[in-house]
Amino acid sequence: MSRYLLRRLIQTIPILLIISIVQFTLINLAPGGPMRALLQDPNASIEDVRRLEAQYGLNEPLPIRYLKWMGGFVTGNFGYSYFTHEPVLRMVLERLPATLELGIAATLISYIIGIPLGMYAGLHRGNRIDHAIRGFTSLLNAVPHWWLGLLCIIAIANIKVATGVLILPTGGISTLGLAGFNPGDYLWHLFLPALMLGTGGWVTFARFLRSETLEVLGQDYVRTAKAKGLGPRVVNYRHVLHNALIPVITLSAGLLVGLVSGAVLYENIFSWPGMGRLLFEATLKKDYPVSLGVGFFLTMLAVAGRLVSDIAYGWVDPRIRYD
Amino acid sequence: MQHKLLLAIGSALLLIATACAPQPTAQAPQATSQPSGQQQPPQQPPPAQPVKGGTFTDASFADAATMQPLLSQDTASSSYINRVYAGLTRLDPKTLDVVGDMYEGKGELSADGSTLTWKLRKDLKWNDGTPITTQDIIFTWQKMMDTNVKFPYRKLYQDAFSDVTAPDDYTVVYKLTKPGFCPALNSSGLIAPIPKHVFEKLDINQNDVNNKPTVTDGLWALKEWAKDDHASFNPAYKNYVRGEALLDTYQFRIVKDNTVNTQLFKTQEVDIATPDPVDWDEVKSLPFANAYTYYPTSGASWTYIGFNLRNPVLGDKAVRQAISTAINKQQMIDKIRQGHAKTQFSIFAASSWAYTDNVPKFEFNADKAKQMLKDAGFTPGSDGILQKNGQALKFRIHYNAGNKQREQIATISQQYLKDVGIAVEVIPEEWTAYLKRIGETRDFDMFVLGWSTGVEPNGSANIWKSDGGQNDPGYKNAEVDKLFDQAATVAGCKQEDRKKVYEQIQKIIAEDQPYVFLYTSESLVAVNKRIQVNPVTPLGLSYDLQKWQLTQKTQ
Amino acid sequence: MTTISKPIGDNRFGAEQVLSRPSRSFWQDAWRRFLLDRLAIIGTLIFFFLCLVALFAPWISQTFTGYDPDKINLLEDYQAPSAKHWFGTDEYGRDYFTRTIYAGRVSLSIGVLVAVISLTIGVVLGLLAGYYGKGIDDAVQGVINVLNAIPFLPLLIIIGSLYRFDPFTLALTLALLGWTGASRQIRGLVLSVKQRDYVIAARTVGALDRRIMFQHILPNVFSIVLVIVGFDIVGAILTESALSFLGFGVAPPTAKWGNMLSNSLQYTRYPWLVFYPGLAISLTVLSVFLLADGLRDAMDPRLRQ
Repeated sequence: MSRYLLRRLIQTIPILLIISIVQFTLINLAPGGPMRALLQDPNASIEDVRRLEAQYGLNEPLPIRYLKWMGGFVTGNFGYSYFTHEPVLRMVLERLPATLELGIAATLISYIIGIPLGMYAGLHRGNRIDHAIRGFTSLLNAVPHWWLGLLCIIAIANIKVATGVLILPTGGISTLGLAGFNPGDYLWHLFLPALMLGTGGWVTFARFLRSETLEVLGQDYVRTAKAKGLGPRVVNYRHVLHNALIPVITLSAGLLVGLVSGAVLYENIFSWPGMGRLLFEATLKKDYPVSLGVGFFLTMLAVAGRLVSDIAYGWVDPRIRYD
Repeated sequence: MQHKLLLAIGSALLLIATACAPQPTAQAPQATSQPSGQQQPPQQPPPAQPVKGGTFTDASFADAATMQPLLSQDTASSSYINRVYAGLTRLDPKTLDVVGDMYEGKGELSADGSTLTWKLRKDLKWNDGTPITTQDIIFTWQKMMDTNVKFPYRKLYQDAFSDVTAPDDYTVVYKLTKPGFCPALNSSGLIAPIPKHVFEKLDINQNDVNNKPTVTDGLWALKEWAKDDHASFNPAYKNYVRGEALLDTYQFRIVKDNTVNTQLFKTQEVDIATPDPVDWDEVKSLPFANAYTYYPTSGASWTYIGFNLRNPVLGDKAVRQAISTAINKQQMIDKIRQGHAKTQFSIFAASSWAYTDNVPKFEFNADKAKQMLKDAGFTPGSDGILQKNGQALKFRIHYNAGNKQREQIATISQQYLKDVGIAVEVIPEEWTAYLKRIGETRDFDMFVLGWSTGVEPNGSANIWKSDGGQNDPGYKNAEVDKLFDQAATVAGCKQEDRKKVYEQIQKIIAEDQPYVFLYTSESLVAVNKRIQVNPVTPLGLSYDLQKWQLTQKTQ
Repeated sequence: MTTISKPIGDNRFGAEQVLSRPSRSFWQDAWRRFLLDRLAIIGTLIFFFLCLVALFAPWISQTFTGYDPDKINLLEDYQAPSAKHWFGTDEYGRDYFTRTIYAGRVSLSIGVLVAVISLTIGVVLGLLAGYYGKGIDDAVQGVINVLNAIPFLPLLIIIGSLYRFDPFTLALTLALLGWTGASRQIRGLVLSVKQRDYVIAARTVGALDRRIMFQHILPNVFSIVLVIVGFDIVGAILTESALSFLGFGVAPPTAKWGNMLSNSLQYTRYPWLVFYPGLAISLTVLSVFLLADGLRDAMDPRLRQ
């Protein structure tokens, strides 16, 4: 097991290397550059832009800049932002908790809503509730969730104006000015963003688990179990759920990558102070060191998610051995 | 069947989102040419006893990058910095003159115009108790000029001053680079001084104090800053140059954009909104909103379409004038700004003191535009597009992607020009790449852009002089070059004397039409009624933040 | 949100048939069952209807409405839906119906293009990896591992900030990033089909690899392929919409459902501007889901009676 883990970790190195080179090249090939934005001010001059570009080392050839970045990187120095002048690592770490909070909440929502619904629909194939679940999940899949999120914000604002009641906060991680750590307030703020980010996940799980359940129900061992006279409850939970869940774990890895992707979108919509927003802003401003640093962390998160799901897979399915 | 039900639920959500808002009148308002800024909401008379306490929540579309004044280059950073650092000079809200803030009275220009002298107030202290002296100002100046510091605006200051010295602890002497250079009067107080005793041991570019300034001298002191979420400030101390804050907390909340800001204003999660013109009527009618409209003097924003005069066809003045005549500026104001803008015919914002309306105007007239092009020798080609000597009137018009207003201008202009036989291709481009194209590679025909200009008209010299760093159209006129120098060095630096020279400049450039001048935008601001802000002036609402207070509940 | 559920290969074709009725081929049987599935039929009809409307958009707008999708008429902006403007007009006074159907052309073409390119790559690599295994398989899986580790949206934002996407480059980018699912499934299928008796039989009688792949394996892959096409189209439309919302989508003058939708959020006081592009996207996605569900059920041999 530990050998397997080690091997997987070593395998991620070339992946990260390739991704960093691709990202670095893409980012640096862009015309323009971070200092150009200064020119929107009539008082700024092109001389100042050129001087700053030289001061930030933006004039050096691409491979040299990559090697410098990489050199810093292996010693744990992710570089400094062109605009905040802070170490990138610190900027990323400051925003990591918010992203993790949102991501974990969205994952939990995916499981808590998706699995029971999918299981129920599969076990009761063809009845009204099954139809309702299928219809609802299809409908939810059919609208872009970011759009739904914005409509929710607008709807909440209009309800507030009409009735004076604020159903849910429309963004932010906590109520400003509230003294101390207030878990209730955090959860209240977390609810809508996590629900929106988790929607893709639970819909996928519900639909997927439904078909998996159907498939498992048709397997010989389930029939055998039923024939042995085991009650439906035992059969459903010990045999059906357990077996139907195995592929769900495979799906979870994809879910994590999806959540990391979605972070950019939902952190923007809900003013969530996480890494996705940081990456978005940095990309707009061409703050390359920050883009690269956040990109690296997001990729790491995705790789880690995949690794965890691989390990969980082996743990749930005894047929799989890692060596 | 269930699907129908679900569809119904879906549509219900959509309806709540869209229909609750007040419906616009069926017909869009007809073109009205009256400026709409005149009807101000009645100002409550100031309460006899100032109200203490309360929180004001501001909205910012981006978090500040830094709170180090020498590194700041974005608006969010300067708003944060202005909360915690006091300024040397300010604009008088009534006269709009530059007057002392930390400095006393007015700056004194020597008889030969070679030096400018300011006196520093003697009662100022940093909030750790250290007195503020000219040493801090000199230190700040030295850092601005230090080649190792990544200060973005060095050239502006080098052009104004060759040296800054302090004969004693409370006198500062600015030596002008060009004697008699009037704009220098405005430049003397632009960057807030930083405490020497804190920063002299630190690398200005990178240190931990930059984003956690504790030794400051502004109205507010930084309480906490959660990056990308919020920053909050408490009243600093009693020695702030203009008194003590009445509110107890001033906080910034980061929101994605105008649309989200407007929603948060509706839920009263933030106290201020600067809505898009389309949302203005809705925001204005909210029961808890005080609505303010004004044409700002400092930070006046105006919009134009620039030409590339290096292009042989666009180098022809007649073509530029015809294009300008083909574009209906008033209709753009009505549609894009919902009437919240003024037409502008020359190189200064319509709200600037130097602006004059008395210039050649190219008001919309499609038939006249066609005639002008015909007179210039253009005839319709086989595809209906005008051409002369095989050179067809086909242009590209660039704008920066994501800017809705400029997208609308480009798209609408395309239609106007099509109506007179000119083909235009609209091309959006990423912001910095766009700035590089316009400012350096110059590979463009026409472009949509705007300027946000300060009070000092000489800021535009950089745009219009032949060797100006921001002269994107490639405009060259020796007369204009001469006049700009003359206007900047008028003896005595009186506004009305300088204005006469600027009027001449405006006439010449308006005749040449290197830009299609479009309009100056009106600022639209809504503030929650809980907060009583400063009376609206061309400087906006926040020139005396220390006087902001909660509105008294009982009248 | 971009996590679109991917169909999972059902590799148990032909298991346990009960010969209790006249023999019918697999395809006849699947087709019969598909026709019985009301929802699937509705989905198919809607989808083909949308495709036809998109295909004949110029003809439709000329015959029925007579508007140019890009023609600005500022005197008629923000008109509510009426007999003159079926879907109303937008902020430029452009006919919203004409724009919606023209936008469908672009959006659906992007979707179809993504599907075609990503399938071509995915199927070819999947077949090769599954059939030959070893080196080729390792190489393909390596590339897949890299691609799967990248969060797409951030990458697309970076690419979008460098080069403005046009419909073709966007489709190409999405396809180059998105073929891994197809390839994995095809590979899985091939691995299981390879062990089937008829393939082993074919090989024993000396059939060529290429012939085996195309004659025996590819047809089995067909249903999966159809489903993947559907999901690729849907995924492309949804991803494009998210990108436009963030400001990195295909450049604005071209109407697409995604940018119509993100643009409309500024004008929520004019509900029709929000409603129609939303409806168009939802209908497309919904119909593809119904169609895909139907296909999957129809080809599920366990449902044979």
